[in-house]
Amino acid sequence: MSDSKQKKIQHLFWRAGFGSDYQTITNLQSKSIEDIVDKLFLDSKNFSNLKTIPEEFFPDDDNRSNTKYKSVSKSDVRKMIVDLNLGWIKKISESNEPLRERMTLFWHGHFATRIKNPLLLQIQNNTFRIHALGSFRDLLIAVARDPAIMVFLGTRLSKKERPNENFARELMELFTIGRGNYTEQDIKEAARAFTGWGYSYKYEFRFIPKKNDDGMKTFMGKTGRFSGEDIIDIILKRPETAQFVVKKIYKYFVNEEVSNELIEPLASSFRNSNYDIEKLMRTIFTSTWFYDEKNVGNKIKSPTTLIIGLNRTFKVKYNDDRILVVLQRLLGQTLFMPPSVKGWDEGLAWIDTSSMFLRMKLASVILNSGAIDLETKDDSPEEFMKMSTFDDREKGSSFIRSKADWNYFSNQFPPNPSNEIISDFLIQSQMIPSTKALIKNSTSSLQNLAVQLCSLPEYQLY
Amino acid sequence: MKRRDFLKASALATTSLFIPSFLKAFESIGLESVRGKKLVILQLTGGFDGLSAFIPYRNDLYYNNRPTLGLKRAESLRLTDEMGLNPAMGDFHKLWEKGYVSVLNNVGYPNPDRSHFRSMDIWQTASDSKTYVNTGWVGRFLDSGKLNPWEAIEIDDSLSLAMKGELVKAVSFKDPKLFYETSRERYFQDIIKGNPLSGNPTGNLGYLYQTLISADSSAKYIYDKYSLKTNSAAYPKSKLANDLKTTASLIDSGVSTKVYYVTQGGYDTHVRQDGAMTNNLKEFSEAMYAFITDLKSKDHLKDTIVMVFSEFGRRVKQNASNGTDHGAANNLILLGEKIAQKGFINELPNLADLDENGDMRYSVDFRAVYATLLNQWLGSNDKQVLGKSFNRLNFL
Repeated sequence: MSDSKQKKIQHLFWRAGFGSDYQTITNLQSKSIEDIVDKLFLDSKNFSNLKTIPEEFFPDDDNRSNTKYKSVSKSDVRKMIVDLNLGWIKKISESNEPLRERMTLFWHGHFATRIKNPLLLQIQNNTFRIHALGSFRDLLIAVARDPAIMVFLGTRLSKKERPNENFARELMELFTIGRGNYTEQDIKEAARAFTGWGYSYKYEFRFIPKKNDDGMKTFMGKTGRFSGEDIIDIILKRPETAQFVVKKIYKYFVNEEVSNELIEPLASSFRNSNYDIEKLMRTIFTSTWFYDEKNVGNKIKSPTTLIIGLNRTFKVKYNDDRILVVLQRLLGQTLFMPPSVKGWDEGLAWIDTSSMFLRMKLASVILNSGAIDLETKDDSPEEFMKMSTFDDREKGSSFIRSKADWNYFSNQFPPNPSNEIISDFLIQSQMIPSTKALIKNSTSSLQNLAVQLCSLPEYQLY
Repeated sequence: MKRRDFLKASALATTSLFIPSFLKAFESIGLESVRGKKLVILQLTGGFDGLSAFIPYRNDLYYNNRPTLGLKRAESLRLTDEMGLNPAMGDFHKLWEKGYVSVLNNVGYPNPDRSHFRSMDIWQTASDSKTYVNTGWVGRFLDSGKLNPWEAIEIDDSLSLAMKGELVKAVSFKDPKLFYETSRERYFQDIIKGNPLSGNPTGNLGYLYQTLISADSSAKYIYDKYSLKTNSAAYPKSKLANDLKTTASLIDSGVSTKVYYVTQGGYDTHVRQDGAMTNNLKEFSEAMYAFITDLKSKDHLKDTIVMVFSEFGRRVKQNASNGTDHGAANNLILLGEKIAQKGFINELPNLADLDENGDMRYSVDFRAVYATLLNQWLGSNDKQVLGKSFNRLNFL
């Protein structure tokens, strides 16, 4: 099964997106992998931005002080971040550009930003989306000039008398070259170069010369009156930068265990292509090793992948989709609220005793209109997670009311499908023998069988 | 060999095999001294500014470096002739006056790393700053004693590296009741009944099944004890207070848990530090007061030590945004009633002798604190857990 064409196509759709429907996979069986990859990129050529936060909150020339946004109360701002989170979940769940959304999600974790201003987060999210498959250099500079990261990492308040080192440090440690490839002195010098960076009342990048330190800097062995962009270009010239980024992409899209012999050629062609992200991703998705057995069905789904995978496979509709924010928090990944600038630790880090049960229970709860005691406690570190409008809050629990589109799900299969057909479609990993037998011998209806499959440890893998 | 001799020999062999190695380590000390001892670890995430909590109010260098952030002597709560306490920590001051507080100054490690993540990993894995280790020191404590997962509990949605051993990983949850209720699902029990680990599955799939099975047994064990008692003690309203209340309830329930792990975040104060620190320290102080008072009232304080640490201190000189950047050596706080050395245990920070980054130098390796607690409080083999020997301290 693992080497069948169907499994390969499913693998591609899971890793480059969030899974696919059975019909699409069946229809593509006769096409070559190259053609299918072409189609994926073509589908993601045109895209739309996330527009959850309405235009009226964005300042314009007549509204310099941006009073509309400033007059919003703190609790409304919290609601806006919830809206933004749900807006993006909905967008990904219904997207016809899954590859672009998958890449956007990757960059969202790579440039993890945690601030309270939902407008700036939306602007940043669209920056990720616009540059998701473009040049990594353009992406990096756009992100650095975006107000969100300036607020988060203190570039905005950094002036030449006392530069703030935060952005310079994370730029090198997390965004580009990785630890061990720069010194504390490099951080101090780079921090000087980013002094005077700020933004206008319209949230556009603004350079303030009098706050900028334009003196000589010695950075990574080079000396000059370096600007922030110069610093970025010096970092990008280093082969370690391409290696660092490619390694992270490989871990995310291919395998947590890195094959060093694959990284080097990928990294050097990434650097030589001027950091062309699309070219890199095409190379990965069309490589034969991408479909090797060890790379298929072995990655642990992130909470986002798990939730959106269910949403897409079963076209789930929620009575009140705010429950999705609670689920994200309980599973350990709330979009727009990364735990730190390091983003989310992927892989085994998602799994511990408490998240394991919830993950296994998720499908029955979402797909069967079931109830689960999900406590939304007052002690939530994310104040805005207080789902204060839920009626049953006093009881300490919130109920998920959602509806799967079972007609849609069932009708895509041939009549009276075997348990194996459903299992091969829903499960990407190998199966534990005793569990496989449990499923094989199940006499449940198609609907119940699907819920059972999605409640297995195996379903946590893709 | 005669049958009787054989029986004798094998009985001996069995006994020594079945005594966990951590017990063997303290046979000489005597079991009673370490039985039922608990360590509560509180991690202050983000880089806790010790100089905002403990104020060297006679030191001009402190005020020179902190022109706007420095706290005046008159504002601070008196600790000693040299040192004051941040006025937001009134409750903590009460604990100090009762003699429950001990503070180590200048705790750190050689070649300090100023990255949050790396430095936190160093503290959690107890590694050198040049060595990368993928198990945590509490996790290895579980490993070395062949303990059960629930003998270390993290009150959180996920498990920190500190709590992950090679063989045994600690348990994490926010609420023991919810944890248990979820485990009772019939379908899960059906999957477990199939004996899924019989084929020794490896890789991520094996890990998922192992987690399922250890979660199931842990949930049952904890709930059986925990569900019998309710905690009516008064705690303030905060995440930290809630987590400490859960910890106190678990301690009172009689579970055999030896280490608890809780965190308080928000200490990365690069910008406008004073407001953030006031909030953080107030929350910390009030929650800790409620916790210690609760333990004392139920007679558990004699068996409990709290250790409070952060990944690093902050730079002595404030920055341009009325905040402070990442620093190095820092205070480490211990609370309990069985700590022999009270108050400030060692020499105060020397602000006249900073390192090349303008940060405080360490004089106490944090692993010496771990070694002391492991050996003298938890009765473990500190050398085995930490990978090498550190000179134990005298605070116990």
